Amino acid sequence: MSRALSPRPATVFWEGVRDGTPFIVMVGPFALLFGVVAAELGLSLAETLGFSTLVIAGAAQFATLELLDAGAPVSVAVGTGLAVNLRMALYSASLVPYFGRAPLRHRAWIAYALVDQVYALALLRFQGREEPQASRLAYYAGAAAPICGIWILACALGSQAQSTVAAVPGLDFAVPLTFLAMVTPMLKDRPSVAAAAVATGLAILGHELPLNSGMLLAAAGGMVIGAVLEGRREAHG
Amino acid sequence: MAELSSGTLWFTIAALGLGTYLIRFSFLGFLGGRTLPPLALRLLRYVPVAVFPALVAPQVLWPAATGGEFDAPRLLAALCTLLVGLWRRNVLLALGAGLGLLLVLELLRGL
Repeated sequence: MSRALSPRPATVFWEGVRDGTPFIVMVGPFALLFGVVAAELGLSLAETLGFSTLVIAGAAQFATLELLDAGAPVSVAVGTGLAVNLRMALYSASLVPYFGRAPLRHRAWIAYALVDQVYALALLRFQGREEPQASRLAYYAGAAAPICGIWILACALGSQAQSTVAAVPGLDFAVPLTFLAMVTPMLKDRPSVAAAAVATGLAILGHELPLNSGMLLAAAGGMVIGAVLEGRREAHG
Repeated sequence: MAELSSGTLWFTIAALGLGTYLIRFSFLGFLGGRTLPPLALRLLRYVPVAVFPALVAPQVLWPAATGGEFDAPRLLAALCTLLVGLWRRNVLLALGAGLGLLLVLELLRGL
């Protein structure tokens, strides 16, 4: 399918902003919570901002802080945080078909903003849609701006206003629910459903394995099942 | 906190930040314009549908907020999000339904 007229990048950028902005409601509370926890553990505003701007990865930030607080060596705390983030290598690889040919300076900032929600929004948009690379870059930038922005801002806010934030019930669960909600539109054929089901089962079986390896093995298992079923479907026409 | 010096903290932040960036940059940065083999592309198509459920499933059954104890309201909220999402194919609607249900159940528990 070729399109004679592509929308201007500025237009597509605002489409990204429009799609990314609602996620302020889910990312914001999680970030506030990180700021609160960091402040309770005695981190200064600068140190909290260091985490949220240099790492921008919620689950890893929490895991690393918790381990430091429990007296674990820095190597273990950092190693665990990195293991939690290893899934992002898969995100990076799966963006290669869309951004692999972009200039290095673009790939550099794309990598910086490659957080779960931005990745999921990008894939929801790119899969099965032909559009020029300039449009994809603009959409990605637009989606990343509010999501990364609120992460950094709300971490700082939480660190400054720790006592007022911590009381709202259920906020801890906003992020798992976000991931679930984002996956549902992608469950549109049998290989995808099977991949999700197998990954879920394996993750439950392996949840006690060290260094987050259960999650990574489960993801790998799901990907293999999806790819195998897709291959079989093609073989049988 | 077990009395961490500012130096230790900044070292941790820098190491975690650099490592995380390299993970994110990895394939996108170093593979560049080279095309991936068809099998790799086929596997990568299933990254989101495999990674997100694998990430979420243990958190649903053993939530951090309850110290890893099973929690019925959180399981119900997750099922609600999943079902509404599959039914309407609308991310925000699914999320709103799940979060809304959890908020109501949490408030009821407080009574």
